[in-house]
Amino acid sequence: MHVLPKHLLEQYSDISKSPLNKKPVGTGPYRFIEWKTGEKVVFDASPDYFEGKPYIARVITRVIPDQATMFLELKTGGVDIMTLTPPQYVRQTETADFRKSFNKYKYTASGYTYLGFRLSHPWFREKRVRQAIAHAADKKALIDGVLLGLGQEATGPYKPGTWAHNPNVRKYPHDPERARALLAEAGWKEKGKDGILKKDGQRFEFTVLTNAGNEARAKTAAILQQNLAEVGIAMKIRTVEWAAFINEFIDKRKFDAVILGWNITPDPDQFDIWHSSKTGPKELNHVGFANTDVDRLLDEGRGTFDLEKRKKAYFRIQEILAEEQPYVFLFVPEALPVVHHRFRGIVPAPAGITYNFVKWYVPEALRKHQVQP
Amino acid sequence: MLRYISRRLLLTIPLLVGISLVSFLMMHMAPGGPIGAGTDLNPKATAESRARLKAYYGLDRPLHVQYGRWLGRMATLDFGDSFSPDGRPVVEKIRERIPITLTINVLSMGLIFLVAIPVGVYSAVRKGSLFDRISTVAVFTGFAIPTFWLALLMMILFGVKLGWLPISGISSLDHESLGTLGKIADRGRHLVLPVLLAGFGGLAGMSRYTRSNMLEVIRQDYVATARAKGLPERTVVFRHAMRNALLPVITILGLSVPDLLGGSVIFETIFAIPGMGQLFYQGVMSRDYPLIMGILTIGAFLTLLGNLLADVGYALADPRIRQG
Amino acid sequence: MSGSPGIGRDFARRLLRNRLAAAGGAVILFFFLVSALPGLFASHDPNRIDIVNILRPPSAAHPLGTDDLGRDVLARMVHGARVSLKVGFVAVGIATVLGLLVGLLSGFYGGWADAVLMRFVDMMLCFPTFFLILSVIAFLEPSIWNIMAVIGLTGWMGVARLVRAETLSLKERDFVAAARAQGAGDARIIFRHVLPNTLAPILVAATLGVAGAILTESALSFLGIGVQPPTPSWGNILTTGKDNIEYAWWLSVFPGLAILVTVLGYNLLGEGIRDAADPRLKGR
Repeated sequence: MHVLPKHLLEQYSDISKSPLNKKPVGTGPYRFIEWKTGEKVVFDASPDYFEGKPYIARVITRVIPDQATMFLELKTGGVDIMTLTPPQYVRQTETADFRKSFNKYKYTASGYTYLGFRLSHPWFREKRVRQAIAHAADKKALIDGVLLGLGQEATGPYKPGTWAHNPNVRKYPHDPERARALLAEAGWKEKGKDGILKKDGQRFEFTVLTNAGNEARAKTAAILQQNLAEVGIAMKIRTVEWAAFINEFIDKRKFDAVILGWNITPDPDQFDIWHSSKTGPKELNHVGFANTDVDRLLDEGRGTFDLEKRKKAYFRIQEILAEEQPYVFLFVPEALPVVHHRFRGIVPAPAGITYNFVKWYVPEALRKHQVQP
Repeated sequence: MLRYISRRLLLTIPLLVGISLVSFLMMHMAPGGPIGAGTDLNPKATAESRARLKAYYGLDRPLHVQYGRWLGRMATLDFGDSFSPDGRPVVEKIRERIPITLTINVLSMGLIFLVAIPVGVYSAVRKGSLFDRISTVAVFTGFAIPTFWLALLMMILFGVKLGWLPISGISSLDHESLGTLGKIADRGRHLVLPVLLAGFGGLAGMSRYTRSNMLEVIRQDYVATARAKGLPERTVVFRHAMRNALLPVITILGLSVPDLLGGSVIFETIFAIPGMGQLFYQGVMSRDYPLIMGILTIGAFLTLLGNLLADVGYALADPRIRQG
Repeated sequence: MSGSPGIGRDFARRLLRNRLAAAGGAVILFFFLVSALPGLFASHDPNRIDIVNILRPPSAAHPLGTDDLGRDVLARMVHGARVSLKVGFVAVGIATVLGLLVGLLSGFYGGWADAVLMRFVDMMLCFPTFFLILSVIAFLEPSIWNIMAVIGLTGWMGVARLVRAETLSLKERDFVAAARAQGAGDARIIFRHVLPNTLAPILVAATLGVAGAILTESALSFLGIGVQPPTPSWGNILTTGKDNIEYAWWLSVFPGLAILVTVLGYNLLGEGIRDAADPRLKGR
């Protein structure tokens, strides 16, 4: 929740329609100056900020619709800070020239990507099938292929390195043999002429949905497709534009499986995602996970401030999730910001680098742009 | 002449009605209907708020009533509010983007005019020469090359390797602090690549057309007469032949409006230019239906205008119509 | 006039003598071969991901390099050829059939049918084609069939006008009057007499139309609203090319070149057919 300026908003009956939406007034370190739609937003340092006026006098956020152009802008000086994609980080920023002018940073991002199963699907109802797919998925190939190695395997819905993360849950190493064995146990023993498993006359074929325009997800899907083909499962890929994706497929639970991601919030309570009461249409437990133990543990975790008690509950939840595999947890990427070298005062931490933005400064000799007083 | 123009204008009316019909039908083809995407994205939208929206947009009324309302709203350019998070009126978003798109397209039309015509004329006058042959090859290549590919290659060459031209946006970061002349120069530099590429396709077509037109005209009797009168070749070419060959030029330029608009989607997206084309692309990607319909309709209006101009140009050129 | 063998032979001879058109035809034939017999040209599976060999430049193993998932670019381009040609042909097929129908009816019957149909054509032509295509695809979903249908449904107007003009002039000719005198019905006249004589301009329009359709499909795929990966298309390989433009030039150069050459081929052939079929140009 943010603090809102009552004295400016109280005259509007519907604050979502007030002019402050285009000219916000707040309590942050920077003051809004202008917004040229589709082009840029400009902020000037606020002398009234409680931590003291920021050193950097003006911040301009530019709207550049794609990563490639953004990167070209970075190199030609039109942009000072941006988030790099893995290929840019690995391949395009290693020259001596680049390193003279820019500083790269790397820290674990607060999010993970997963393959979610609709648990009411007749085949995915079977735990062994889900576990088989987990073994079939080559997570290292995913990290190397999609993230160029800049990430780590996800074993659950928590960020590695944080207090709630349980490093000792059941893992699913890439093991096509084990995958086939599990599938056979679940009744998928016959193989058709095309190499795809059959049971009761049906081919093991399903469609995975993911949102269009996301290169990382498209690549993830392509790699998983190959992984699953190896064990006899035919996975078709369908990309849907975001709004239709959420509206027509996720919210209405019209999918076999999805490739999606979650942001990991600082507080480990994930009630909305895992509790059985949250499986209604449009609610966030879209796979339909319902486990009485997890329900109870989620309630426990929310119900106390005692860190130790909470930790126990969340650790146990992760054990159950690892066993049940309602998702195949795929990977946690690294966040890759890059900043022009003239900015000083940056102190990388697990929380990132911009948490102390108000303390960043540029030594006088290196200043490029001056704000006219 | 006046009669011709007024007759032409009258013909525009059924076209406008037709445009409204087609767009109306398209809107109702969208999955989820005209308001579907807007409310379903928002998890807080309840059944009642969606019912309210339905009533507001009149979607619970019979189809012909809805069409009537649409017709009225189209006349006032009221396309509703955009589905994007800023929820601003569509016409406002278009209005702030149109100037830059029009600027680039007008400039590229100018480029076409200035380059294609001399090339076409010279090719015709020196038919079969090396120049003619080279320009023919260039023209055919121009027809066949995917312009977005060319855009990428130019960006790399001029933007990155040579660093001569900026490769995105329409002004530099410190644009505000430049003097007036500096500002013009800055804008100019940013527009070079987009204008060049926007005009590229039209260049090929126009020079080809000019060439064949010139060839036709040169063969005419009055040219032979002028030559027989002993007039210098240059006068023959410029005064007699060219004037007649050039008259249809306005027609061509007017007719090229829809292609230029279509092309602007690609260029503005590649070069990150905040014009109507980029807005359209973003609207398509985010299924912002009111925005899509708004730009489509405005695009149709502009095309209609271009056609009108083309016909007027044609009328000016053809003395039979001019007199009548 | 229809069915006279001399005209056909004359036409063929003129066409073949036109070296550029012949070159265009050769290019087209080549790509037909490529899409019909992919195995001959590419030994790799276009969808085989090979993480170890991501973004490799052209080499003996991968003559056109690999893409960002290690897939062989040559194989993807060979299969992409199939997609591009398929889209081109089906889209133009739809456009031609539709245009023919409208043009024939309009030109032959005249009157209010003509007025209505031509107003409809004018109306459709009011919308910038690319805008229209994008809008319709936004309302539906990007799939190969939708793209084919949309390109076809937005491209028939030119053919219609062409056919109408031809029909109008043919309608007055002697052989039509003769056929009528013999008691031939409308349908017979249209299909046996008028239609065959409109073939030449239609062929030209169709050939040039395939070129245009290929350009449109590749633009759509490039923008991300055409053929969806992992299905390869020259356009969507270029998208990867754009994203990796600084260190993987082969991803940008080859697909673009392929599009250029193919479209050029169709254009040259189309122009050649036009020149060969136009009796006024005899001896030029």
